[in-house]
Amino acid sequence: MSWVRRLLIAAPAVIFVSSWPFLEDPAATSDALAAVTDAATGLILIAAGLIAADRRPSGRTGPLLVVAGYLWYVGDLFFVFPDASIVPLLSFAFRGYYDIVIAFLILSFPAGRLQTTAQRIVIAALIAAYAARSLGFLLMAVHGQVYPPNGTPNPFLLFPDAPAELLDVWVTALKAVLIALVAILAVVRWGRASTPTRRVLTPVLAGGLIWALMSAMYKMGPLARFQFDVQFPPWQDATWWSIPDYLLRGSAAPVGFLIGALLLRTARTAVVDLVSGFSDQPVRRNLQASLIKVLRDPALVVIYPDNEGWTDADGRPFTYPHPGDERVATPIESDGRTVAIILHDASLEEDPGLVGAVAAAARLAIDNERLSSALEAQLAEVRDSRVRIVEGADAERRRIERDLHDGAQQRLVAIAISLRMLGDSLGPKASPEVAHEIDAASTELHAAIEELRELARGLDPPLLREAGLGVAIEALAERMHIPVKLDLRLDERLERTVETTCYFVVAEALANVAKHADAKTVSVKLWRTSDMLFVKVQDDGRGGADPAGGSGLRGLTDRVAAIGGQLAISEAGDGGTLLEAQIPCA
Amino acid sequence: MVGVRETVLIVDDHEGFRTSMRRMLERAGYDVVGEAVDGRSAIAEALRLKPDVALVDIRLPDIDGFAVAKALRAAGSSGSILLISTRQRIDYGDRLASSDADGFIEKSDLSARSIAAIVHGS
Repeated sequence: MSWVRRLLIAAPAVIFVSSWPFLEDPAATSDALAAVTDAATGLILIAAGLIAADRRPSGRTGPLLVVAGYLWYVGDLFFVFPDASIVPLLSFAFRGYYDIVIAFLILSFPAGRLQTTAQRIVIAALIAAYAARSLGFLLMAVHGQVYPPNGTPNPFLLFPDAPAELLDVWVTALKAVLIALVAILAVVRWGRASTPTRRVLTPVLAGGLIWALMSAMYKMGPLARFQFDVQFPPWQDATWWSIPDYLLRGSAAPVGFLIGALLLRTARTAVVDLVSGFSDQPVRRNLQASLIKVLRDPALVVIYPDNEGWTDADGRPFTYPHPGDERVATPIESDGRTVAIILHDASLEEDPGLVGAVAAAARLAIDNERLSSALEAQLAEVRDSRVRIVEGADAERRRIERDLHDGAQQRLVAIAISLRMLGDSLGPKASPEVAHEIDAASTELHAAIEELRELARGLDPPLLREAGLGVAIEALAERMHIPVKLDLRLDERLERTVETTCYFVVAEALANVAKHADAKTVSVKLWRTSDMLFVKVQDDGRGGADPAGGSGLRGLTDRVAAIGGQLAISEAGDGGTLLEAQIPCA
Repeated sequence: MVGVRETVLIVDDHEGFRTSMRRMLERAGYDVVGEAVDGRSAIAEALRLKPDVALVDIRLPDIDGFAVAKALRAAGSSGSILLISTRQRIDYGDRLASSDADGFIEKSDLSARSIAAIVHGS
């Protein structure tokens, strides 16, 4: 509810109350304590009503409490406007109606609905009694009094000879009995209420019982005086009684409602509590405990559909529906199918907005978890498949290298040996042309063998496989035409994919240095932690390497990323190029 | 060349290469006493035949040439052990220097002369 609306609702009462001190000889303000208590009672009721309306926007408890607050002041109009036409008459005839609303709310808070026939009968009887009294004072004369007191004729008077006060005595006694019945029904209701309801009901019941006791006691007073000529309660005029009298009679019930309204949970705070209560734990393990806390229903259970039936949060089979289980089921549905059911206390139904909002939040959490785990699974699958692609490519390179080695290379070597034998066997007898041709063929053959060997080496460096990363990188360094400063802190062998990836990173970096950097020296640094291998290749060349340019580097970046690592290229401090990579290694 | 021909064992899993080698070595005056196609049979043959020179390919189907050299030395074999490969010396880093073999020759450089240079140190 907006503040503007609250102000509009509460302002008339405040203005009305604050006008009292300015009245001429106001009877209502003659006793300061009575005036303050009287004014505060209505305001407390209105405040409780506004709070309840805020927390349960769909319920009627809030509006009813506000109505009760205004009805409280009806009796005061008699004193505040004594000269205003028939206002004092109406005030006198209709005062006390707020009791009906209080009685109704004590039996229906916080849902605002009566639940048993007994409750309905008592409230109906109470309404009838108050209506009978009002009619009595409107239609009959009051014996021995000019009524209304300001001399305005009573336009409703039908039975000038019938004494209204006699009816009032008996009707008031009847009201006392009915209010006592309300008190009994309220206690019975509290006894039967579930834990979540009882929590908000307790202050309402406490205030209500005090109200009922005081009201019933005072409403028996006229009968006792009229019929038996005794004063009831006997201490009515005692000095010590005036203060508790005012405080208890007026404020007990409103304060009870105010506390009860404050204890009501708003759907919003419940959802906030629920959602902020979700930790990193799986929702399934966490949801039930959170809901128990948020809805304050210790008997609440969340069950999940299984292939054959239902399981609880721990995965144990759960019989649902269970005969004799009085809990109410609120299903959580997503994409047209039930993903869970909240079995909760029936009293929570009194505020469908609360359970609905909480169920919606729970659905979001369940959906979120479902989507997250699906996404996580997909990501894991993608990660795995990337690693498999890298490993597959490596295996293929090894196969090609082996084929080259076992096939073409061996044949070419055999041909080279044959050619040499041919040359040797011809010896000095050979013509210069033939000798020259044999030499030329032999040179070509050796060039072909060397090219094949380079190709094979690039595919699957034998030294890497056989001797490990350190030795293989040392061999790479030896082939460089500029000095290479090595700092290799690596003793043990690593996983093949890690070694191969790291080797290709260093090989590509050194090849780029040789081709583009125009460097005088280059340094290669290699070290590892428990789970990560770090590579750093830095040259003192002219820099300007572009990680996006050149398929070699880009392919390598992909390869490193595929096994969960990172590769970065930057300008070194002195103008050269710095290549850094980190590769996960378990 | 001495009066008694030097005996050679050729260890390589490629038949074509073994044939070429045998022809070349026999023509150069060596006595090729045996051939082996993998590391384990190479060890057995070398210990049985006690050749003067064993030409052992580094890459063999079971154990590699380094392991063969090591096993032969451990068994007290006194003949020369030459590791051979289609690959270059650089491809093996310092493994060659620390191996139990007497030397290494790239296959494309294999000749009676290059073998003799290592065996006889000339």
